[in-house]
Amino acid sequence: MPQKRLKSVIIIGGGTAGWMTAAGLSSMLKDTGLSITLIESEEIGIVGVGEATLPHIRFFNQTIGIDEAEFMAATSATFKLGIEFVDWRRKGDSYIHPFGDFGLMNKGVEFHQYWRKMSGHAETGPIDMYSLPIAACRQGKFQPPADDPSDVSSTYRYAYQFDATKYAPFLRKHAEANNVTRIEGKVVDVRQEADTGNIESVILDDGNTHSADLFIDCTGFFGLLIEKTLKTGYDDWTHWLPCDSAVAVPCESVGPLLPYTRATADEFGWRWRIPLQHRTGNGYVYSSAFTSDQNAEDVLIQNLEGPALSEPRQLRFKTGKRRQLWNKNCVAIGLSGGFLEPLESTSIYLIQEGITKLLELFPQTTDFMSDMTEYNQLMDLEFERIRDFLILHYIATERDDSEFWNHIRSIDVPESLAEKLELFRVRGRIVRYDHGLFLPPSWIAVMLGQGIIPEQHDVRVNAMLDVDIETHMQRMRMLMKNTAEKMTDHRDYLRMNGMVGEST
Amino acid sequence: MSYKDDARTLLIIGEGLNAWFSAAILSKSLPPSMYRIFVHSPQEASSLDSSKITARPHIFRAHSILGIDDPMLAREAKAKPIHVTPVNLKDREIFLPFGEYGIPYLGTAFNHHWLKANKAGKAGPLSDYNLALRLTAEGGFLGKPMEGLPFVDYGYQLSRLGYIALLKNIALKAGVAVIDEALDEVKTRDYVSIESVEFGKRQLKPDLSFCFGSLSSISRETLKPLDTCLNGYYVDTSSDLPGLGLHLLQNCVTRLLAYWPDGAFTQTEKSELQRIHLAEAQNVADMHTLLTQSPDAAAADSTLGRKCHVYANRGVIPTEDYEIFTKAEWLAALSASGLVPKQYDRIVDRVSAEHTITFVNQILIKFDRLLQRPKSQRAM
Repeated sequence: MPQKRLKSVIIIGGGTAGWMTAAGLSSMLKDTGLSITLIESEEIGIVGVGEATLPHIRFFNQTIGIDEAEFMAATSATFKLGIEFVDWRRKGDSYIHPFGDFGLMNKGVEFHQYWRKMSGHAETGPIDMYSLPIAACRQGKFQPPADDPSDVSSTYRYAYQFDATKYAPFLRKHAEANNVTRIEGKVVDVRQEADTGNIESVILDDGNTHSADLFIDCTGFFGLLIEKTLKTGYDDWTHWLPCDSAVAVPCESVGPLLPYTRATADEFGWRWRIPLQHRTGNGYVYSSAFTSDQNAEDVLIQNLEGPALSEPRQLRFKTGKRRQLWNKNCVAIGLSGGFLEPLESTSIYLIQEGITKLLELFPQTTDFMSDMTEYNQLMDLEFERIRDFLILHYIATERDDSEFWNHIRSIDVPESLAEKLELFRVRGRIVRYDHGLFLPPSWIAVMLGQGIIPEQHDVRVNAMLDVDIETHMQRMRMLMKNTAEKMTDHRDYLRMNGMVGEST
Repeated sequence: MSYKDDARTLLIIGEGLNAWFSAAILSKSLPPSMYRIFVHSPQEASSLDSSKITARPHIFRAHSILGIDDPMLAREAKAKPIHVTPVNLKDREIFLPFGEYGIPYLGTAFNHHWLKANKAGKAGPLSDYNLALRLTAEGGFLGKPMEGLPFVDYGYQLSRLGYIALLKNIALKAGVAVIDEALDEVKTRDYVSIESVEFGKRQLKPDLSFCFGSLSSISRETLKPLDTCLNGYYVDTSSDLPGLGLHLLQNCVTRLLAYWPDGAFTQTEKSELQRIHLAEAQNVADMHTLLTQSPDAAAADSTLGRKCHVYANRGVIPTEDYEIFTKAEWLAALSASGLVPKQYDRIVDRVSAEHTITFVNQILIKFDRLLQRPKSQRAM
């Protein structure tokens, strides 16, 4: 098989995944002789998944040259400092997974170990009191982090909550400025090479044929190329994460503009609440084995904070991932590659990682074999480690108020997660990896938030006198509280910095 | 040193450096008065001569715990700073640098730009573009970062005897006691916990027992309870690569502190300690295989096979969890093994070949300017 220089890429699908891929590739690979075409059909709606994001999105936006204020205004975005989990451990309980550290490490020992030792003292309080982003969330404040690592304001990061239906058009402008060609049309047929099985071309409803060296499947759950054509197969993870449906509806904003996403556990799954400038995004992720679509919709509507702005929209999904996210000359990015429920806002992160890793391994020629193997190995690891983190939220619960939660408590935990749980339970140890999205502060937040309190603390903590630890902690509590108080009200910050969109 | 009534007894078994390094770290990290630490250290053969040991930059973390600074190290252990790990092979010497190759450009590692320039026949050997290697070749030393130049770290060549004496002194001052008698037997209770350790007529009942490194004077059978019992831990940190035995030892001891039990380890904790150590040891073994054999010696589905394969195809160096080496060290080793990537990162083609050649040559010019300065202006 002769190898030739890879000259053309076709992206099928123009939702968030499609336009992020187009913007990412065209920004990084412009002037390298690569032609990038995106084919989308206005007739096909987009899922618009992942209105809430993780801090990594900022790097993506910066890399492709997006101005933050312009982006915020164009997508009616708000800032996000963490995710609040309500009723997950038990009803009436709440904690925040912040995008930042708890306290400060001392002599190589993580802060939560000191907190654990002192947690029997009334004045110590919950660990939330030692997190600046949590303090800011509770007060509805926002301020960008400081650059100076000695400043407590450098101990957090931030992400965005934005209107995904506006993000794709916003990126389209950037991509087209970098010579991405957009073709309006619906793919009606796909041709494969007889000898290799590679995708040769796609045929559109106008009869035109478009061929490329590499295809990116961004067709969402449908998986037009990766599954319908290449029959790649799917690793089904519903035995660990049984929710398979969602219903979504936006409503009018009510009350202060919160700088965080909320995930509230419910009888048959959980509800999201994502505050945007002009509306609030709401949804209910549930298991159809335990409740009906109508009931889920009713529960969602009953819990809206303001009047609904549209009809509820139903989604079906299967948690898991393609057996190969890169198969032959096709890479699946976004929902076509896999789906993990948006409990930790990982959907857009997985798109971004798919693009980043594709760029790192972007082939010069049409001999993809080694790139494909490496890409699949890296992406598999990303999916698996996020999966474990999501399962943690479910299995560490005391809820027994529905068949759904009784079923959840009976599921087998992956061995990798079972070890993490035991190590934390015994002495608050966090398993560290060089790869994977969630770092120790995230694991600490969710483990403690779900009520997994270590039986013992790190012995090195005993090298410090209790009175000294308490003095140190008291100072830290005050520092977090006072620093958050000095921050700007979230909505005021948006106004003062020219970040408010026209529709707001 | 006065101990609390409920102070616990620790026993450390190891030859010379292994024993005294771990004793020093544990005695300086654990709460004083709560642990009685005993060291049984059969003399290691290499401690009798005047051999040198290599300490990689990683050692700074341990030295900050121990209160060791550069002047102390120079005085007590005749320390000489180094910018590379020198590895002597049968037919040649390879240097693993403590600093990056060139500087990244267009968000892409330097070696991709060098590859493009090299394919055009306009670049020198890759090693010329590594400041740590250049400094080593020309006998220079850079103790502080310099603006516009890649960061170069440093480790040490140390007198083995001097360094062990320094560590021993720190440990003894922190209250560590020595057991000179020969180790006869480790007795267990129901194969679950170590009950006592017999040294001639002396008996010690340790709460926790550790052995680091390989031991030539004590049979592996005698030490087996440290593997099987939950209040014991044995780990072989030896390596034929300079500095790597000490690096693995440091990681094991500091990780042990992070997993330190109040009573005994749980099985999961012991498994986790072992799992991470094995991953690190595999990483070191991979480097050894690459340097002493050839890339072909690596199985295709192994961690080394993956590195060689992806590098040979794309010039990218994949990393594993618990990597010991930097990408620059792997790049030096992969290049020394004769692998040349088939392709460079496509992003490099955003600029013309002339532009790339100019960029690559500017790095050389910067290094040359630095190296032409008097050595006194480069030292720490």
